[in-house]
Amino acid sequence: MKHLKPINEKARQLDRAADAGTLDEVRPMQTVAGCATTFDPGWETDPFGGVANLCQPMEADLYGCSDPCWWPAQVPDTINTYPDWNAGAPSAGRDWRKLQTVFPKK
Amino acid sequence: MSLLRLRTENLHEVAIDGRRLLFHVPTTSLFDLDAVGCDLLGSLREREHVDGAELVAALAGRHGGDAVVEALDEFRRLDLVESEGASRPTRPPPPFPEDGLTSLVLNVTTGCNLGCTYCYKQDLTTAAAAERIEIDTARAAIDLLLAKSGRRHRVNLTFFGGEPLSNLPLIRTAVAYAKQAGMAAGKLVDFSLTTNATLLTEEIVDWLDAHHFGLTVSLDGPQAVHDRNRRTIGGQGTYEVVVAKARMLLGRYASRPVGARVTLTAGITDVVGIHHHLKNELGFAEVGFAPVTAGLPDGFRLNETETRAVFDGLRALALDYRDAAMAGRDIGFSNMAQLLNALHQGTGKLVPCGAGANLLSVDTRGDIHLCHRFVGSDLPTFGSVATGIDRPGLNDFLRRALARAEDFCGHCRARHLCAGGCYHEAWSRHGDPLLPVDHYCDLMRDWVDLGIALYGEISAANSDFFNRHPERGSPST
Amino acid sequence: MTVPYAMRPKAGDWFMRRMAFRAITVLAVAFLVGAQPVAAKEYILTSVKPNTLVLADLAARKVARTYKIAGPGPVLGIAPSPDGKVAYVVTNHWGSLVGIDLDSGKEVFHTDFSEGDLRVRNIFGLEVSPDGKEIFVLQAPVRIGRSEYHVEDTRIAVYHRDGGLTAKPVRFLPVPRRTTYLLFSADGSKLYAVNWDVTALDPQDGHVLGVQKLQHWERPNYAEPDVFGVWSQFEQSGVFVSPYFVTRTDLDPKDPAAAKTGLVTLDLKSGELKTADFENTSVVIFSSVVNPVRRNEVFSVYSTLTKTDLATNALVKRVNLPHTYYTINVSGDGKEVYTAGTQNDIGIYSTDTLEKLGEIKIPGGADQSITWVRVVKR
Repeated sequence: MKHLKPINEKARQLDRAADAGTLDEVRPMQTVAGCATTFDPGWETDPFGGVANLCQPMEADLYGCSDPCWWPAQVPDTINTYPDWNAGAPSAGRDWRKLQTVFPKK
Repeated sequence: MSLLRLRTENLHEVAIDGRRLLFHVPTTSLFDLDAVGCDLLGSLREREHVDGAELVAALAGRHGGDAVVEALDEFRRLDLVESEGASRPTRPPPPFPEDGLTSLVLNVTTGCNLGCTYCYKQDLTTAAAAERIEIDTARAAIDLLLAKSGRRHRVNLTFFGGEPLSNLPLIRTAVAYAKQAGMAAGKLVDFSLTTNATLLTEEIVDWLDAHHFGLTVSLDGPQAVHDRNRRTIGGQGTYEVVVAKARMLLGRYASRPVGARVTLTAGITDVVGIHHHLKNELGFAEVGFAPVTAGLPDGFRLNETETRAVFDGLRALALDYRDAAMAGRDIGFSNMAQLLNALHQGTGKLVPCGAGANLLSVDTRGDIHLCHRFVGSDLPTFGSVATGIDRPGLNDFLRRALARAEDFCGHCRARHLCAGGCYHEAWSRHGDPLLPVDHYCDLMRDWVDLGIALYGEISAANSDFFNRHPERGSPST
Repeated sequence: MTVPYAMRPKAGDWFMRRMAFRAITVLAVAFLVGAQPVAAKEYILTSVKPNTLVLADLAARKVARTYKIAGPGPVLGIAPSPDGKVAYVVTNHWGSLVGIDLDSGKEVFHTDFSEGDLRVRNIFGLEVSPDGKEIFVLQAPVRIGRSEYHVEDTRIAVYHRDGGLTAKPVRFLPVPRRTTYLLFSADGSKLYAVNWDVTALDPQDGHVLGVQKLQHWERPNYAEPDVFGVWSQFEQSGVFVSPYFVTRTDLDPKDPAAAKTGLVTLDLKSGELKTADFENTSVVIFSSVVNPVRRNEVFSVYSTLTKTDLATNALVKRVNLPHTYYTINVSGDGKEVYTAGTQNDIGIYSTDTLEKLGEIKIPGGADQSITWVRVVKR
């Protein structure tokens, strides 16, 4: 809005709603965005410094290593904190694209 | 374009420092009006009905026709202007959720070790004759809080009395149970307590600290003020003991800021002086004032002149608050902090408080009351921890409370911030909790206007202030 | 909890993070005692995500039945009852023990380990007593405070098989931390808990009957062995076997002979613990199984299938596998080994030539991940 300048947060919401044409539905919208990234599994090297002795293919090892928290920093903790991380992806080889980044809970 | 009518009930203007602030009453939002908006508003105020085309033509010379049409459209979208004959869709108020309980005030004892003259507790006894809550009743009340709080993750348990610390063993057990039961329910329980401070020891303070209690100390001001009313049962002033305990408490309490609660009654109106003593000389984080204008006999409550004096004092303190806030400091004035927070959040209330909706009180027998102030009164109860909450009774009460706000408060600009005032105050004054508190409506409107002006000033000078000091103001009891 | 329980809680390290290649394995004798049906067939029990138990007919080379378990998975440990009727599985993010009747498909046993503010997870150790009456579950509890965790002592929860759908432990046994495998002696008198070393416990009250050193072996010029402790798969031979890796402290680390791969075996009948190196470390091996018929043959699996001889401590043969497998089991007649775990298939290999004889594909395509592979006769 041009002639009414918002001062408090509620007014800012009305302002945004007015621009979006949704003035009747003023609702606070809060998005929680984290900045977690997942590293590629198989980040470690094998005892010989290469990758030939890692699990083949890498997808064969994804759940074997994420389920027991083998890589605590690289994948979400599916035992306690994000139990549903791979719920829709029972086959890593086929379904890995469905795996999503997780964000901190409120 | 048709005939237009300004909906004065939806707006209120406050002028400060050459700015015109527009307070949008339905949403508690605040805007700065620009020159176009100001002139438009002025023109709309001139008559009951204004012809739209004429209005635009009259102002187009100064601002340009497009700008005027734009501003008029913005006014329309905010329901500040309507066309004559337009239908006004009414939205029914949202229902109160059945499992929206967030706070429970648990009366752990009717007994107190002091005999303050103005105490509103009708069931107050000496400590020896006290009726105390049984642990099973307390547990049942805690279970009720957890069960009726829906998906809310954090709930509040406040211990009340009499003097709650005179039943500390029960509080300790209740806290342990609440934490364990809360854990099992997946919820965090916060604890609060208001005390006269005389029973504090270092060990008790450390225990309260360890459990992150939100503490408020009842202290009325410098010695002469405090000892007028806050006395032992034998009639002795308690200032020296209370201050010694308060200093000990403030010296070691780390988990949360500690507030002081001041009760203002007949002859006690020096708000600024009392605040200075408690905040600057004793070191409380914040001070909240409770003016008693009802519920006490003539000569004990604030009369009309004194009430005005109190509000003048609150106003003066509010201006100090503003000056400090603009410099980034918080002088701990709960009453104004709460109002500013409401303006900052844009909260609108359809009822004056959460009593009956998200707050309930349980007395020592397990009966459920609207709030702790009604314990000991003859206002009917709303069930018990044994038989459950009388939901139909509460719903009926809340429905009538909503109706009173609409019928009585009507077009008052403070209606979404005051909503008719405290039920207990109404009950004390009128004998009916649903008759609105009307003896200081003018003062309340002035107070709200002041809040709007101060908010406008503080947010312009130091917009960060409200974000850095969220949720100021301890809950008043 | 009114169950007798000797351990007092104390703060300890966060168990999960310390779970490296350091669990000690102990062999246990097969627990398949009791009458078997005359025409008992051998089946593999494994599982796939999200929470499905799989019974595979080995002779027919295909999945005979799948059992969808209610609630979230994944299934971790699998321990069939000695009579082959019930499969006890750990599931629900390692927080529950469920018993599935393999005939009716119904859940006949259920317990959730956590209670109140005590969050409890099983970490691998799962065993059924040889008489089938009791189930032993290794548990790692944590007490959840308002803003902190209190790691409590590990324990073994003992359940009676008749506990039903709301089973509660009948007793707890104290157990050293870092225990993974729980293995019963053939006669049921000892419960071996494999941790740094191999501790024999009294299954009734958990008091220590004896300790055989593994991690703390006295082997001059050798460091401590690294042993993986996840999968119980010893039932066909009654001999527990697991690979270990160790470095020699007297050789240059760049010397190929400085890193050794060996096998540790625990005979669950005799209780004898043996360790023997068989090669300079050349490939990674995750788990192994002893041939019940030619009892000197050991088969190990990871990305290769390895056959070694316990009598000569020599590598006999090694073949590449089409992908990595974690687990391996063997037929009762000693003719076939079954590679399982990770993905979706069970490989079938000749114990004689290591050639691939076939495979069983699990319908649906879901991963087995780190679930156990057991052979059950029914």
